[in-house]
Amino acid sequence: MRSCQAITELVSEKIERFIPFTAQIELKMHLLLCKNCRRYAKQLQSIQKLLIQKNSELSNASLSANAKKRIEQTLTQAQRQEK
Amino acid sequence: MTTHSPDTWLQDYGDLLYRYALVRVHCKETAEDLVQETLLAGLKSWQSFQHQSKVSTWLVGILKYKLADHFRKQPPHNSANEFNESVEQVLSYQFDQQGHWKIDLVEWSTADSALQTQQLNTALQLCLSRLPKRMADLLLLRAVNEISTEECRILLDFQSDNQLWVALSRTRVKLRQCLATQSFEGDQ
Repeated sequence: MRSCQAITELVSEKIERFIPFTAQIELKMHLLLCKNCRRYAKQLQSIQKLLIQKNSELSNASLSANAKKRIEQTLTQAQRQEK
Repeated sequence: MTTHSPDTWLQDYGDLLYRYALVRVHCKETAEDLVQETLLAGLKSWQSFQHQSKVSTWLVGILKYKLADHFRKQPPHNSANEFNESVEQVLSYQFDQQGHWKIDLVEWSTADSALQTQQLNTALQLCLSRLPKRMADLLLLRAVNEISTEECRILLDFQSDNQLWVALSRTRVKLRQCLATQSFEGDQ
């Protein structure tokens, strides 16, 4: 039987990867009975959701006009030097 | 035919490269620099490009090298010990010797208004900035779907997957505690 501390480690691991079936059962049972671990699990999930949201905003980003101009200039300069 | 001439790279692939870099480095300026470096390197080796892959794939390949360089150039993990000690402190505050809770966690209210969400995000930003850069990077990289465990391990120089899981769990201990204090009533 895992301690609460070990359960919190398992909670984090479960966010990352598939955990063995027996561990899943133990986790479920423990969370059913332990309020603090249940809250911990819920809070880690909330944090994960926030992080994913943050990232999905980034994956729609595009280069600003200024950045494009700057890069364009550097590239043109480099090309001129090549020739 | 010069349909793939370097002249249009920035227009055609600039945003693609930028997003690829941005979700990995989480800093606009750094991501812009990486795009520029990638395109410059592309220009230099354009003559030797064999056209065996798409130009976009080839450019992303160059960007991957630049990203690896970027992470390698980060200051060494000298703050690792300090971080580990601070995690131990939180853990011994939370758990007794047997690993039972010594404190009670307070339930977090769900952020249902835009203002609350914004406050929560501000707190998250603050708490992430208090983590060692490598640990914050780790958490953020793991929250991007398209980035595999292996890529994460290599970019941030972890020896094994197991090390990665342990580091993530410990980082979450710190982050959760910081958020509980910043954004909610804290633990009791």
